This record gives sequence, structure tokens and C-alpha cells, in this order.
Amino acid sequence: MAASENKQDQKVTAAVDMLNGPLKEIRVSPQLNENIRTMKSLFEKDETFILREVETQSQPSVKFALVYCAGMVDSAIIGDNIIRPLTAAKLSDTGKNLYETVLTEILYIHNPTAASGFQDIVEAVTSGDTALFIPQSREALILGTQGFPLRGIEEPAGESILSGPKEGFCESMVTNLSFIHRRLRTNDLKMEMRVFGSRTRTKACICYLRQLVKPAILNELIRRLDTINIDGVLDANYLNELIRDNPLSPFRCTGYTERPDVVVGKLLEGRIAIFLDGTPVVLTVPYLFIENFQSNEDYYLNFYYTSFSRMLRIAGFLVTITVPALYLAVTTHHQQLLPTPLLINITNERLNVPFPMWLELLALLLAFDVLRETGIRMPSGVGQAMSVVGALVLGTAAVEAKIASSLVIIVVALSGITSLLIPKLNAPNIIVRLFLFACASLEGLPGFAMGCIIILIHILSLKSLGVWQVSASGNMNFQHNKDILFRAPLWKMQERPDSIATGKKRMASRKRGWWR
Amino acid sequence: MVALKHRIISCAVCFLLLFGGCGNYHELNEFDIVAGMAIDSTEDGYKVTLELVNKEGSMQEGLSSNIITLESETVPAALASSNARFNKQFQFGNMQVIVISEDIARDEGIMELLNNFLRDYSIRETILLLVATGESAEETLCAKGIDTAIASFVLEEIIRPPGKTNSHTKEISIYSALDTLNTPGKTLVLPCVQTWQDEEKTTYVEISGLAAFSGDRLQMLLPQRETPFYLYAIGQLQTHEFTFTLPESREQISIQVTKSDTKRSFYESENAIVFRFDITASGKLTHTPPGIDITKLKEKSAIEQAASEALNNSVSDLLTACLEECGLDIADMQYDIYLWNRSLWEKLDRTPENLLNIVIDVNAQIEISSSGNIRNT
Repeated sequence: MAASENKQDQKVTAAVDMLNGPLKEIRVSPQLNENIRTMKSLFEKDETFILREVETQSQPSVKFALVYCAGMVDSAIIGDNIIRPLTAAKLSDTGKNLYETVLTEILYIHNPTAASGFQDIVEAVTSGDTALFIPQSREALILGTQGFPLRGIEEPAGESILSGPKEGFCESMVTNLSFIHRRLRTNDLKMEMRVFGSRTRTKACICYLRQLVKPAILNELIRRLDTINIDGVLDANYLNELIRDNPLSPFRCTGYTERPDVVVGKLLEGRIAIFLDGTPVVLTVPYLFIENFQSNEDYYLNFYYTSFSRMLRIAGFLVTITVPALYLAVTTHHQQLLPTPLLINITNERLNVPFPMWLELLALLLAFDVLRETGIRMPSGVGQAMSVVGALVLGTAAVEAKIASSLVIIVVALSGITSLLIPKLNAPNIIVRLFLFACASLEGLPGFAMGCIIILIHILSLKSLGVWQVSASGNMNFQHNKDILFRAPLWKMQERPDSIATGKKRMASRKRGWWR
Repeated sequence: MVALKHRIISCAVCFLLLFGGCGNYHELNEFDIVAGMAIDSTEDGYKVTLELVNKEGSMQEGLSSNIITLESETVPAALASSNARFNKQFQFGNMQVIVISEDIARDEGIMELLNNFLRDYSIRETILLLVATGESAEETLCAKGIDTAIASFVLEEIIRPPGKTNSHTKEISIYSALDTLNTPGKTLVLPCVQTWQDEEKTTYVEISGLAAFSGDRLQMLLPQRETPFYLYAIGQLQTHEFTFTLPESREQISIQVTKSDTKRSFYESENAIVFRFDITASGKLTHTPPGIDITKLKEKSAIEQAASEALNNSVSDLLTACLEECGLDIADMQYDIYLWNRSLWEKLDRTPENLLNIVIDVNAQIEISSSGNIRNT
């Protein structure tokens, strides 16, 4: 069994290597024309590929070749800092070879690098850098000329807050890393680079504070990342799905955020952040289940208010997954549990509804999800209008047309609205809600209870990089519970989560030194 | 492979368990809600009357009910006979009351009926039990309340009023009735219900007193006016408008008792068992004849003494009458003996005749906590 799996893995690896295999073999030639031919053949039928030959005024026989991709480069840098100095250069026999002269005396480019293989050259050119081929040189110069348009720094729409920093990440990893550097001015901050995707060659950065991170967790993450062998990585979720524990679970095993302050907060707790070029989403690991209910704003506002908000979020999670199932179980299996006035009202409401309760409820739950999806996918103005039309007009019309009863509309709306309290659990909510709904529909309250137990067992078995997401130790120590159901005042949060970080103490013993 | 096998078996067991409940699935449109049940005896067996809630109405707009009667040799058989006449099932889970006719309670006993109810899982054990003292139990469900058309709901609200203000009857559910019948030394006492007509010949229901049982058979009916004194004796009185006569002036005074407590004790004395009831109650004056000044300590003490004596006599007379006339220990004195002095219980001759050896000693103390005046007269 294991041997056949290994054989399959080898086949896949070989197939992926074929994509870039020949490039590794091709080296830069001292003959400029040969390099030009190679580049032209590599970028055949790519009309964004630009090859510009430049000759110096002093010695027209000496030619250079510049290679870059249109739209990816800053043309002003190429014109002012590369082409103009090259054409104006006065080459003389100073004993230096041409490569060194160009590198040290002519170019006005910060931090040029040398590349001798065409794989590096292709990667650089497709990233927006410019490759400069110099005659009689076995190396090309890679010049940083990136100048493609990027989205500006905005507040992330999915994580908007009332109070606190409003900055959000953008699609440039370098810019995103600068946000972290600006907030963490310590040499303890480590940033290890990786490249993923045999075709996309997407850069990634593993970021952590060396003295806080647990080596075992870091090593496990690196081990998992190093086994990734895929042709393209377009978003952080690619990495998430490839490195996560419990691969089939609907619940998240890695945190994600678009806010630098959140990433810094996680790093200070001993977590590891994974940045990926081309996406504003940053992954954080290990991920604890309670993080689903935490928000960065929890630490920027009064702790009474934020503790209340957190309890609301937890209650919202319980309400959104259980209310439809409970309603169905009680009204179809255990009517005697309902107070008589309520039973009469519900029965009266349903007198003319032609569909069975489960179908009515299921249809409306799906309709709510359709409206939600429509609201998200449509442009914001249309989306809002769609939500209002859906909620008000369709709901009212459905009740008046006796297709649905008003109580079911209330149940679905309650379930839907409470799910919006916890956006991080949107996807699991839908699946868990439908699962409990199916259990309750088949067996009533015993089925519902069984479904809840299954969900609870599943949540208790969740891991993130080998760390249990929910601690079942029953440790009632204050420091273990200071940031779970409620958020303790900052001067009481003296320790980091010990399952994640090595350095436990985060605060001096005299928390509020001015206090006499 | 073993793990896979276990997973498949676990999934199969889960699905079997889940699908096993499909039989309990009932749409709300598929049944009628039974609000109450009345049981009368006929020559061939039983007549069961069901009060069904009319689902067209709502609690806000006002409810109405439909009455149906079913007859057969037994109550379950009568209920089963409905299948031939009605297309819907009955939902007993929200039934409020079961009214048993006086004839059945007196002649046949209620144990058999209670057993029937326990066998039906859909019937709650907290449904109230009542005894109809009119012509039949059926007529109580055919009547209505003053503000609600459904007689069963009216009865339930009278017996279980909101705010714990009950002073007119005792609440007994199927569960506690069975518990009473099966506990040594306890006597079953159920509320009675009857109908009455106003001038427009509209029939209403009302609580009419208490029915005391010997075993599971009705033995004695207590009028409604005696109910509060019974509740004093068993320590379950919540509020009571107590009216008595001043011995000297023969004038009526009312005290609204809002707090009462009864301590019960017993001791052996020569050939009798003395059972002592220490009742302490307090409340405010709600009616006094003119000229009485409650601020004067002497007058207040005189009223309190008169009230205490009146309460003393009322409770004592009630308990003694039950003992002497019917051999009924309605205050569960024997149960206290069973509970606290097992050796005495073992040697106690528990025949009704021997109950006469119990001496009732009531010691009531009523305190006037407030004159009740909120304005100067």
C-alpha cells in the first residue's frame, strides 16, 4: 500500500519537475546573441516580453541586452537609471572587465544581483525585474525595476473595527512585511523566505519571534511547507489546505487576517505568521478554537464591553447552529414540550402551509444563504438592495402567499443574523447547522443531542500544527481562562498561552508600577 | 482495514439510530390539540369526552373549542375508537385537566384510570386531576369560563393561578395523585369542579370544594368554604381572606392573610396520640367595623385573639369532623408518624375506627401586621 503511494508521489514529482527541468540546465552564455536567442525562444508568443538592445555612444560595437515584461516595470527607472547611463557610458580600458564596470560604475540601481541560470532570470523577469545581459559575461544582472500597480493601503472590508489601527495588508508581500517591521522593532523578529508553485514561483515568508516560538511547532510547520509540491499558489488558502491538520473538517485549523496589528498580536503570543506574495491574507498558526470568537478590537476597547461582545459571539454561534434544528425537533417530534399557547399559535400559523415543516425550514435556510451569497458577490450597492428586497419583500410575500409561516421566517432570520456575529465561522456554521437539522429531522431531540455530541467530539479532536485547538484539561487557573469567555483587563493578562509559546511571562510582576 | 470496518459499523449504527425516530415525526396539521378530558361511566363502560382546541383561533383573538364524545368498555378503547370517526390524531401532550365523574370516583375508584394514563407516553404526568360533582363530568367541559371559552384552560388557570395566590384549592397532578395513593399514611384529596348558570342560561365552570378519598375511592366532599382551613392544616396556604366574628360585639372583621406557616408535631399521651398544629399567620386588616382603633394595643390584641380562636376552631372542627364522620385523615397525620416515628407506626392500628384515638390540638396565632389603611378616614 505504502510502496504504491510512494511510486505515485514520485511520478507526480517527476511530472512537475518537467515543467522547469530544462530551464535549470540552461546557463548564461558569454555570447550576447546566444542569450538573446534563448530569451526570445523562452518568451515566444508573449507580446508583453520586451527585449531592448542598447549600445554605448563611446563604443557602438559594445551592445547590451535588456529584458523585461511590459506593465510589470517602472519605465522611468529603466530609462533614467539603466538605459541613459549605459548609452552615456565612456568605456575605456581600465583593467576591469565589462561586467564589473557596468555593475560598479555605470548603473544607478540599488542592490543588483547576479544570475547565471535562466531559471532565475525568467523568474526575475516575470516578477517585474529587468535582466541585463552583458557581452563576454557568464552572468546576467538582475535589476530591481518592479513597478506594477498595486492596491493602496485600505482597511480590510471583512475586518472593519470602530477603534484601533485601520491599516490593512495589500497584495505586495514586501510592503506587508514592512508593516510588521514597523511595529516590531526587534532583531528577534525572524523572516524566512520560501517559494511555492513550480509555475507561479510565489514568494512566501515565515515570520516569527525566535525567543517566543516553540521550536517543535516551527519545525513542524517548516516540514509541512517543504513537502508542498504544486504548480501554483495563488492565495494563502492554498497553503492552509495543504498544511492543515484535520483536512476534511469544516472548521479552520489556521488563523487568517488582513490586519498587521492582528499579526503582531499573534506573533507576540508565540505564533507564526505566513505571508504570501500576491494576497493580503496572512495565515497564523497554531490556531486555537477560541480565536474564532476573538477580535482585535477586543483589546482596544473597555474589557467589560468586549467581554460582553465575546459572550454574545459565543451565544450567537450556539444559536445559529441549534435554533433551526431545535425548532424542527420540538414542532415535529415533541409538541408536548411547547407551552400550549405557543403550540396553538404555531399550529394556527401553519394551517394553510402546504409543505412539511422540514422542507419549509430547509428551503428558507437555503434561501437565506442564497441571499447572503448574492449580497456578497454583487457590487456593494446592488448587494445591499438585494438583501433588503430578499429579506423584506420575499419574506413577507412568502408568509402572505402561505408558502411559509412567519415563525419559520423568524427562526431562519435569527439563525442567519446570529451567524453574522462570527464571520470566521461562516462556512462551518452552514454545514453544522444543516447536519444538526438533519439529525433533528430524523430523530427529534435525541437525534439533535447525538448530533451535538458528534460536533463536540469533532471540535475537541481538532488540532493545529499538533496543538489541540480546545483544551480538555479542565484547568480552571485564571491565567488559562483569562481570554476565553471574557477578556480580562490587560494588567491581569500576565502570561502567554503555554501551549503555543515558550516565553510564558509577558508582563513584569508589578503590572501597574505607578500603583502605590 | 480494521479501522475502516469500525468506521463503517459506527456510521451504520448512527444512521439506524437516526432513522429509528422517523415514526415520531408528526406535522402540526396532522393532529388536534386536546385541552381536557372528562370521564363518565355508562352502562357498558366509559364515556370519554374530549375538548379539542379549535386551531382557527389564536390566544390573542380568542379561542374556541369543539367537544367530542367517545364510548367503549375502557378508556383506551374509547380513545382508539376515534380512528373510525376522525381523520386526525389526538395530541394529549398539551392536555390541561382530566375530570373524573363523582360516580366513577365513588364506585369504581380512580387507580385503574390513573394506570391507563401512565401507559400513554404522550400524556404528561403533570396534568391536573379533578372530580366533577355535578350530574356528569362531560358537562364541565361543555361549559365555559367567564373570560375564556375553553373550560379546560379556565380550570387550569383557576387551580394554577399566576403569582402563587391560590387559596381556594389544592393542585394535584396525576403524578402526585399516584404518589399519594402509594404512600403509607397519605390521603388523596382532589379539587372538585361543578357548573353553574347565569341569568342568560350560559353555563360556566367553577371550583366547588375538595373530594377526600379513602384509598382510591371518593369518601367525602368538603364544601369550598372549608378548603382554606384544610390548606392551613397541611401548610400550603398562600393567601386567604379570613373573616370572623368578634365575640362581644358580634361584628364581622376580615384579615387578608398573606403569610402563614404550620408546624406539625405529635406525641403519645396515655392511650391517644396527640397531633398538634402550630399555625402562625400574619396579614393586614381589610374590613373592620367603625370605631375600632387598631393603633391601640388592647384593641389590636383583642382582634388578634378573636381571629386566632376562630381559626383554631375552624381548623380543629374540620379535621375532627373528617376523622369522626368518615374516618379520614385528610391532613396526612399518619404519614407524619410513618415518617418520623417508625416504631409507633408499626404498632399503630390503622383502621378508620382507631383514628378516633388521634387527638387534634390546634394552636393558631394570627398577627395583624398592618392596619391596611392607606388614607386617613
